[in-house]
Amino acid sequence: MATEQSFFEYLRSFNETASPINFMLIYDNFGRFFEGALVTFELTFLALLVGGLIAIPMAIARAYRKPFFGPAIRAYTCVICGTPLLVQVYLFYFGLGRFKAVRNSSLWDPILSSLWRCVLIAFTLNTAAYEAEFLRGAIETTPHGEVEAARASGMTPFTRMRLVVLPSAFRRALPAYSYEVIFTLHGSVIQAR
Amino acid sequence: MVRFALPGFTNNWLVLVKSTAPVSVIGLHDLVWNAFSAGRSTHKLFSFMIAVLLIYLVITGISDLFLHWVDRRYSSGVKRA
Repeated sequence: MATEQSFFEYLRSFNETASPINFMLIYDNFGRFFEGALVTFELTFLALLVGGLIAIPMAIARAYRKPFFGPAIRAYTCVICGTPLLVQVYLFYFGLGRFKAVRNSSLWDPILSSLWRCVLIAFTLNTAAYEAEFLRGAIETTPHGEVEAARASGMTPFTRMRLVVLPSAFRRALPAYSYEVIFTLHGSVIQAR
Repeated sequence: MVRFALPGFTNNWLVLVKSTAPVSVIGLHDLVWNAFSAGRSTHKLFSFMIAVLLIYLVITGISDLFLHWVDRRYSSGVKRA
């Protein structure tokens, strides 16, 4: 027992004086790293989930060139994809809080006053724009034969979308989606400040 | 070769321009850092951030237009599917 204790102390003193990286310090604060990782995963997961749900109707509206929504979503995507995520987060958290109207509105207290929720909203809007863009590409490149076959077997437009177009589009969008997941995970370093 | 490399390069370029923003977090005096400190001291952070947003939008927009032009030049005589 005594030797074990002294070995542990030797390890600690070695880490504090000779080792370039203090591994014992990392070991002591492991709980904090774990908590931080949990926040990162939570943020990434929620942003991707909600963003993905928003992205599907946006991608459909753009792929089928709906009169008003198509150009509006195009403009939205252009703004989001053309500006850094950090600036969007700043705009959301520090910017909106400056307005009295926003501070007094009913949304302020439950949603916009918390940093975490502001970051989550910014991330969700960001990932929704990117996902809508590549999902639109996937929907537009659906082989015509698949749609024709679905039409020939008497599917309504909704069923056609649900059973044929979207599953096939998801398959083609998957490589881009995995990139987007990693991008969102990397992007979450921004919440650090 | 340029014709095939351009879409990837365009994407990479746009991502790289946008990923310069987080350098302000470690205190490099870039566009975002300057706007942030100016906004902090004048209490008009929203206006400054909107300006930064627009500047980035202009940068990415111009480079997108330019790279589109390059793309068109290099694909002259190629049949579009």
